[in-house]
Amino acid sequence: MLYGECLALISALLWGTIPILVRKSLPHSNPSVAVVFGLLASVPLLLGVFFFHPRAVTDVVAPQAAVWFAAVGILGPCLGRVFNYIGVARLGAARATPLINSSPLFTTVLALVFLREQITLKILLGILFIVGGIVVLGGQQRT
Amino acid sequence: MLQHQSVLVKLGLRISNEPLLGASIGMTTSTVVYITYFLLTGQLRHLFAVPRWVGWYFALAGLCSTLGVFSFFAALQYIPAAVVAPLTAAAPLVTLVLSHFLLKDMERITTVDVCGTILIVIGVVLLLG
Repeated sequence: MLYGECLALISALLWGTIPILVRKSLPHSNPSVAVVFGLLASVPLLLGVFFFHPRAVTDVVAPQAAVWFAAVGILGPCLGRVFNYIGVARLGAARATPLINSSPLFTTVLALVFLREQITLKILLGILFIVGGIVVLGGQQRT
Repeated sequence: MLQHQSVLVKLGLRISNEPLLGASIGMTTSTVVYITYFLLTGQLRHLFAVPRWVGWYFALAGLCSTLGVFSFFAALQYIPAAVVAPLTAAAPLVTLVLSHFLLKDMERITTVDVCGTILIVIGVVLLLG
């Protein structure tokens, strides 16, 4: 069975639904409140992970690793989500979402510049497609 | 989104390869930090001023995000990241289709929107695949 593929598509479905919910509801409040509601709603799920994980967190996650994971949490679900919601509210769900999801472009360019990773034809095409998409969506925004 | 693992995530995973626990630590940290900021800046009253249905929508958006992360890691147990990441990159296409049907009164989807979205999704699939 294609369990893995189905689960990956469920992720896409869930993540693709978020901008719709935000776009509909945000005009009645503000991004900060939206983020707080979302974080609070996820608390039971997080507690479930810590309680039902087969091994204790302190046994398998080193303190240094926990610091990096915590830093990601502050940048991603905190700051990232606030800007994400503002983007959706201002540009619209359909236009903001592909732009938000073009982040691998920046990861790739940074890796090429700072980590001196080799550029392949696939990477070059990927960059060109994303830049093309951004230009197409951005160009329309001006009109 | 989490499928675009940042340098910070990679640094953490290099020390302890526990992505699900790592993501949970990150989300727990963000919950504590953001709610502290929210309370200290005197925004608590805004929380109670929100219409009930709006609160449910916000909560549902947060749940979708967290469940999406869990589903992403569950998928990784069956297939490699090089297959999972491009599949999850389809999220903007889901938004595009749902926008057409559910946001009729708020957004008009144009051919240019569709073309731009498809270009970006193809590009992301090429980079992550």
